[in-house]
Amino acid sequence: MSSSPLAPRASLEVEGLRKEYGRVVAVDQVSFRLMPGELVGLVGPNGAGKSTTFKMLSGQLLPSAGSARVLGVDVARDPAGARRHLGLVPENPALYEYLTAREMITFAARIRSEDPTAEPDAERVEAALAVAGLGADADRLIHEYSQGMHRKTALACALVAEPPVLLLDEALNGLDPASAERVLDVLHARCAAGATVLLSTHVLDTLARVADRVILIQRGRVSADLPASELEHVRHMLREDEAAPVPRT
Amino acid sequence: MRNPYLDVHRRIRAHQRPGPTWLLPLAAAALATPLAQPVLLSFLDGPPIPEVVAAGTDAIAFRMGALVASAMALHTYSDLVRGPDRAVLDAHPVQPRLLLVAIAVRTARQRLYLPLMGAILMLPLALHGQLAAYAGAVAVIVGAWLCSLGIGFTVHLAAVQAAFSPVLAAVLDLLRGDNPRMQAALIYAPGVVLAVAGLSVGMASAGVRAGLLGWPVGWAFLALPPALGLVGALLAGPLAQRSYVRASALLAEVDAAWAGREEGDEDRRVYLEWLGTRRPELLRALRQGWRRLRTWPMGAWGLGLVGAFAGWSEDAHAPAAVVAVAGAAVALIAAVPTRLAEGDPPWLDEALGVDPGRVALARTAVAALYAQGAILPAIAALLVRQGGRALAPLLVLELSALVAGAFAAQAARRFRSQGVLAYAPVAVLAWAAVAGLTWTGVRP
Repeated sequence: MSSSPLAPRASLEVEGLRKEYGRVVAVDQVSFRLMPGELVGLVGPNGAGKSTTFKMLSGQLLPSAGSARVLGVDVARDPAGARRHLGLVPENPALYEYLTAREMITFAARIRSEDPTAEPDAERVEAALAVAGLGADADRLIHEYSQGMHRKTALACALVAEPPVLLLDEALNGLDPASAERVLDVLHARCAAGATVLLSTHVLDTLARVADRVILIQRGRVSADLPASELEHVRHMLREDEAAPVPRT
Repeated sequence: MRNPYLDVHRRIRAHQRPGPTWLLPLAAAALATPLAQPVLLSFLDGPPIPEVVAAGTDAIAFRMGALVASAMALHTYSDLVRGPDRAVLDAHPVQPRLLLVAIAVRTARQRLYLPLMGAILMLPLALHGQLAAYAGAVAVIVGAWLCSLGIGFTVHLAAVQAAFSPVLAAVLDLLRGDNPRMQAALIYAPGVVLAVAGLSVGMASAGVRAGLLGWPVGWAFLALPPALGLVGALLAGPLAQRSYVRASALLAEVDAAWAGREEGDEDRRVYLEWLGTRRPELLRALRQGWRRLRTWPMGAWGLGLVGAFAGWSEDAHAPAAVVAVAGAAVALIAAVPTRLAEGDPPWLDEALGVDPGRVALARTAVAALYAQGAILPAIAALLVRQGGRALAPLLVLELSALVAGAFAAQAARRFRSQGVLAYAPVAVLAWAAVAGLTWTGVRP
């Protein structure tokens, strides 16, 4: 997948990505491009390779082959450089359990700023806290939080510095409907401002409202890359996948 | 200029309100000092001949320094490479130099008890009027701590670089044995730290000996370990810049390689699993131990070899030396129930309908079984050299393994992951008592 010099630069370029563990191939020949302002859904059954793909996109896992670039930075070669452009919510986000959400988000804002030794922009922190919608709970310790509150805090940490690329792995899981709506509105607004969002989810109806495209991964391979208007087709493919016998590796 | 990572560690500490738990190892060392004196500082029992005191101080300062350095070699790895910050920071951009400073400060604070314990255990030197020897020994121990703190981070970060290096791939393949290639550099890093620190500590303790015998230049050798630590610390910053973030991918590769191997039937086999076939709690503890804490049963056999060295002698003190050395290993390995309990939430046993007493019993059994690795080689060596005289140490060590394992299991049952804080001081004290009494008992 080569781009001409006149083509707009993709925010996220994935080319022939493959990950194998011994004889098991978790991800194979995964390629896609995400442009600025796009919100793309990554869907697939459990174990299809979505989280493995996210880990390779964020430099937490080395690809066996292929490459991923975030704003032109090769993730495998320069994971630290790529991370500077990324806001990431992993499938199981880890937070400092003995901080409050406010402290955690303030910390995230600091280390994501140009000068991490200075105090962060208080308005940004408040805005991120508003997205999380934790209210008075923002000053409770994170280890007292429910799974949903945990995830909201992780989302706020990823959003606080308004990074140009957001990778959200099952980020809406465990969120109450009102919070999910609020987060989707923010993602929509971020995309309108030129950010790129890759969101994996099992809730296809969510994508129908916000996504521009949907990428379907099945057994480690991209089996469809369609506009969100063709979500019904993706749903049909997923149902067929469920009904199909599980192949032995 | 404020370091955000230091700030965050400070806040976490304030919220955790840990209490004076750091006093526990110091109190244990204070209580163990008179009991351990016959083993550690036996040269003080005779007349204060300068040559004897100097040689004895050299030997004990080196051993204590090496012990501190080996503990720090592992701590610097677990705090930096596999530390609690990594999972959180994997989702963020990091400033590795600032982070390294914060981790180093935290490691220094959390592991300060090591040189302090050494200083307490050396107190009989001062109490016998050997103030210069005491000061020298403490300086060696503190120097070992500083040295391994400084070079520990550097070596572990360099190991990450080495793991990714195509140039070193062939060398790592030669060294790695059955381990994944990317793990090879990490495995040998603590050994490198110990070798470098040990060399400088050896020179420093020899310097103390020379100083005590009237060669003033000898004291200057005490500056070697801290100076080496300083050089290490200066190199760590640039290495962190290159290696800290990349280490996440390295660890994922290593963990995935191990997980992949356990896919096969052969690798699903668990050490001593046949003993638990009709005892579900024991089977669970054995599986958990082998799959999550494999270093413990394997390390026990490594410690057993050290015990075998002590036992391979016809000296009258060899049985007591075996009790001292293998006993220390048993005290360490018998802490395994506290680690087995670490990941278990309090509701788990209730949800599974398991009697917590049976779980504790199973963990006791695992501790005693793992401890055999530390006991049997030492006893076998003694048996070959001294025949029937190996029987008493065998009984002492087996009994110690059972009692220590049971105590650790009860501590784990009551305090979960904090159980080690209750176990460790009592274990140190018990080891000092048993080793001290055995040593005194065999004195001609």
